[in-house]
Amino acid sequence: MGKKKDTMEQEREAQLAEASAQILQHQSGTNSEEDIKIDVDRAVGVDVGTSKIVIADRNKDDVSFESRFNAFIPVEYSKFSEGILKQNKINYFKTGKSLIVFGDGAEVFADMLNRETHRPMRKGLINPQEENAVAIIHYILDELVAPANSTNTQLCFSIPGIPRDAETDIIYHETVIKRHLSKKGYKVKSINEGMAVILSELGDENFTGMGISAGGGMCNVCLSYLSVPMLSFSINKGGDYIDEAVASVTSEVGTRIRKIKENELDLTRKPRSDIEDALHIYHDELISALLTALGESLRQTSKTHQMDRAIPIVLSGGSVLPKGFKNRFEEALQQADLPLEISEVRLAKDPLNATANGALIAAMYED
Amino acid sequence: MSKQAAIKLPPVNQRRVIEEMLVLLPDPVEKLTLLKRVMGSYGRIPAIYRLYPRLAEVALRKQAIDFAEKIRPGSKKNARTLMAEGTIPTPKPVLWRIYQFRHAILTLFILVFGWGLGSAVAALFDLMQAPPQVAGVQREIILADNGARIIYTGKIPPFTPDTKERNETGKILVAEVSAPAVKPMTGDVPLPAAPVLRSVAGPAPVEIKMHLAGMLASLEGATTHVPEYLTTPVWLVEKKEDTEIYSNRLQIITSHMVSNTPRRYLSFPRGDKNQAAGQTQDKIVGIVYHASESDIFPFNPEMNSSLKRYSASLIKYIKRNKSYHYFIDRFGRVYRIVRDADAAHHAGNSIWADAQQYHLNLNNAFIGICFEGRDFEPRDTTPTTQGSEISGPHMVAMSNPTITKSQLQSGKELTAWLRYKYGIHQHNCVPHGLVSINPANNLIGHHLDLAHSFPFSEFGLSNKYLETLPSMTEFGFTHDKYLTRIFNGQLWPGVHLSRALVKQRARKAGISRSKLQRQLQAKFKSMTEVMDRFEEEMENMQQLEAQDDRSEPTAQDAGNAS
Repeated sequence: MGKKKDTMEQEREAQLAEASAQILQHQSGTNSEEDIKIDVDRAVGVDVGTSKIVIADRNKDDVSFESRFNAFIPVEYSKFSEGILKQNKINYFKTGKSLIVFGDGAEVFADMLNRETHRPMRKGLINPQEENAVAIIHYILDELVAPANSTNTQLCFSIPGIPRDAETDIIYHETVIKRHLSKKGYKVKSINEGMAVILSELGDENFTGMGISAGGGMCNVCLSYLSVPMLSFSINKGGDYIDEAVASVTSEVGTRIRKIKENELDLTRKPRSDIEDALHIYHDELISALLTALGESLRQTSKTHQMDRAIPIVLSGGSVLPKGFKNRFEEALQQADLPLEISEVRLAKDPLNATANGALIAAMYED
Repeated sequence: MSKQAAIKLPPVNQRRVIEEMLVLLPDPVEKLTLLKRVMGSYGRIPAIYRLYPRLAEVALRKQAIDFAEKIRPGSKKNARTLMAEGTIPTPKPVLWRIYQFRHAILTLFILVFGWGLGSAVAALFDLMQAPPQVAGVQREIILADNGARIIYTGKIPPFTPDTKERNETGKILVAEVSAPAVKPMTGDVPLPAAPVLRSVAGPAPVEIKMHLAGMLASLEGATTHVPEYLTTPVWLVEKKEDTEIYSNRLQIITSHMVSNTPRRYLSFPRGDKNQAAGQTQDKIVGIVYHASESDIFPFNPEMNSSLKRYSASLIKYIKRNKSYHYFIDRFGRVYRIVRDADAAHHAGNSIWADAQQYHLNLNNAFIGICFEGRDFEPRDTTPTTQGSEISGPHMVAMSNPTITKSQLQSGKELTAWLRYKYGIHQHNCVPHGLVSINPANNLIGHHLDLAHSFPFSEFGLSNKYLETLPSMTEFGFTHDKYLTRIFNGQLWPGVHLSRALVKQRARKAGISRSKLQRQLQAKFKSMTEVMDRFEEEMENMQQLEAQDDRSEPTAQDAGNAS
C-alpha cells in the first residue's frame, strides 16, 4: 500500500510538472513569431506517397517510422463483414451500403478477394476519380499522426514537384493535406520530395547534390546547392507505371506484378520469365524517362553553371529497391551525357523512409 | 515543367567559408539551421566589408560562429579548437583585428569623412559667395549715407599703378562696390568709408560717367535731391562787431579775420583750342573741405579747457599762415579767417574741373573750409627692406573720424550760405583729399584730408567718391601703393573709375595708357607753366602796386610839405 502510494504520488508530481511547464509556456506571452520557440522535443515528418504514407515521428531523441498503405477497397456491407473487420482490428469506415477498408487492411482484403485495391492518390496527387479519396487520406493520416502536444509542434509533409508532362498543379493537393494536418494542432509546412531526400541523405555533403525519390506514382528530382534548390521537377512515371505496363503486356494483375517486383526481381541477372523481362524493360524505360527529363531540365536552366563541383545523386523510394536498380541507373547515366558532373550514385540508407526522414529534418530546423 | 531556383547564391569565396564553418555542427538539423541562417544573412554583411573579399570572409566566419553558438552553446570553443587543429582555416590576424574593432574604425572613418566633406562644402560656399563673372550685369549697392542706391560700373582695381592690368585687352568690368560698416560722423546715418571693390563683367568705361550721371538722375526720385545750385535764400540777419548771424542759424565769428592777396586766378576753359592760354578770373566757383589733421583731445567735458586752448592756438596758426577762409572748431563754432574776396593757402597743388573749366591751384578759385579734427592717424612705420620701393605708410585712414556733429552742422549751414551767395555748383564742393596732387611725381593724394567718410548727402552734395578725378583723367596723374596701403587696399571708387577711363581713352587712341598719361602730364605741365607765369605777373603787379602805395604822398605828407 505504501509503495503504491509513493508511485502514484510520483506520477502525479510528473503530471503536475508537465502541466506547469505547459502553463508556463502559454503564460510566457508569445505575441510574435520571434517569441515562439519551436517544440524541439516533438516533430513529425510525413511522406504522403502514392502507394504508402510514411511518418517519421520524433519524440525527444527517439525517431520512429510508421507507414500505411495508401489504398482502399470497398466491400459490400454486411454485419458479418463488419464483424470480421472489427475482430481483426482492420480500419474501415462505412459509407452508404459499403464498407471502405483502407490502409494495410486493404491489401489483405485485395489479396483475399483477388481484387485490385483502389488508390486515393494517383501519380503523386489526390486521385480525382475516386470519390472518397480525400476522406481516405484523412483517415490514414489520422491513424498515423497523433494530435500535436502543443501549438508549437512542427510538422512537415512532402509534396511532389510540378509534373513536367502534365497540365495539373499541386495546389489543391497541398492545401487539402495541409488543412487537415493543421486541424491536429501542428504548425504545418511542406517540402519537395526530392529536397526531403537531400536533407535526409546529404547532410555530410552540406546538402549539396541531387535527390531522386522514385515512388509509386511519380519520380521526384531535386538538385540542391547548400540546401538551396536549384532545380526540381517530377515525371508521372513510377512504380505504378511499371506495374500497369507489365500487367498490360503480360495479362497479370498489378498486385501480383508488384509482389514479384518487390520480392523476386533482380535487375542484375537475366530475366527468368516474361514478367521479369517486362519488368526489366519497364525499369529501363523508367530510368530512361527520368534521365531524359533530367537532361532537358538541366539544359533549360542557367543555374547549373554555379555548381562548382561534382555532385552526388541519392536514389530513394520504393521503386529503387529492386536489386540492381542503382547499377542500371549508373549505366544509363553514363549514356545520358548530362551537363553536370556526377561524383557518385548511391542509394539512400533507408529508401522507404528517406522522404519522411527528410521531412522530419525540415520540420525540426528553425527558420 | 522544372522549377527554377529563386535564391541567389553567395559569391564563391563566401560559399567556401560557409561550408568550412558547417563542420561546427554535425547534426543534420543543426547544420541545416546554421546553413539557412548564414545563407540568409550573408547579404546583410555591410557593403564596406564586401569591398575587400577577405574582410567579408572574416565577417561571414564570425557570423557563422555566432549563429552556431546560439544553436549549440559551446560552438565558439569548438570553433577555436578546430581552427587550432587546422580543420577550419584561420583568418589572417590583422583582418581579424580589423573586424573586431570594426565599429571604432568605422566611427573614425565617418568622422574623418564628415570633417573632409564639411571643409569642402565650406570652401565651396566661400567660393560661391564671390560674385559671378556675368557680362553686362550691373550690381546695385548702397553707398550713399541716406540709403540711396547707386549702380556703379568700374574697372577691376589692380590697386596699384605698377602692377599689370588684370585684363591686358582692356576689357572693362563692372565692379561691385560695398561700403563696410563704419561709425558715422553724425551718429545717425552710416557713412561710406573705404569702399570695397569686387569685379564682375560689365560695359566699357567710356559710358561710365554718363551712366553714373544718368543713374543718379534717375534715382533722384528715390534719393535725396541734389540740386546743382541752392536757390533758397540765406541772408545776413545781424552783423555784430565780431559775429555775423544768418538766417539759417549760421553764426560766423569774424574777430580773427585777416586779409590776403586778392582772389585772382587763371582758369582753363574745357574744349578750348587755346586751352593753354587760360582766362583770368576772380569768381568764387567752389568750396574745398579740409580737416586740420591736428592733435585731438578727447571730446568730453573734462577736456573743455584744453579743447578751447588748442582751438585757439590753431586759429592763431591758421591766421598766421592764412591757411583757410573758414575754420570750424570742435564745438562747431565757425570762424572767418581769410576774407572771401582774398585767396587762402589751402589748396595750392590741386586740380579740379567742372563742365566748363579746369582749375589748377584752387587757392584762388575755391573757398577753403577747415574742420578741426582728424580722419587719418599715424601708425607704426613698417621697416623698409633693402631694395624695397615702398616704405610703410605713416598714417592710415581712421574708421572713426573725430569731426563732431556740431561741426558738420555748422559746415552744412556755412556751405548753404556760401553756395547761395556765390552761386556755387554742388559739383565744385569737394574734399581736399580728392583734389590734392604732387606735381613733382604726378601722384594724387598729396594731402588726404577728407578723402573718406565725408557726408556728402548731408551737405546736399553728390558723392564725389564716385566721380572721376580730373587730375587723373585729364592730366595723367596716378597713385602708388603707398596711397593704397593708407586706405588698407580700399581706395575710393573714383580712383578706379578714373583709371578705367584713361585706359579706355588710350585704347581708343590706339596708344598705351602710360603714353596717354605722359601726354596728359605734358598738358598739365604746359598749363602749369602758363599759370606760373600768370602768378608771377600777378605778384609783380602787386609788388608794384605796393610800391606805388608807399610812394604816393599821404595827406600828412602833403600837410607837412605845405
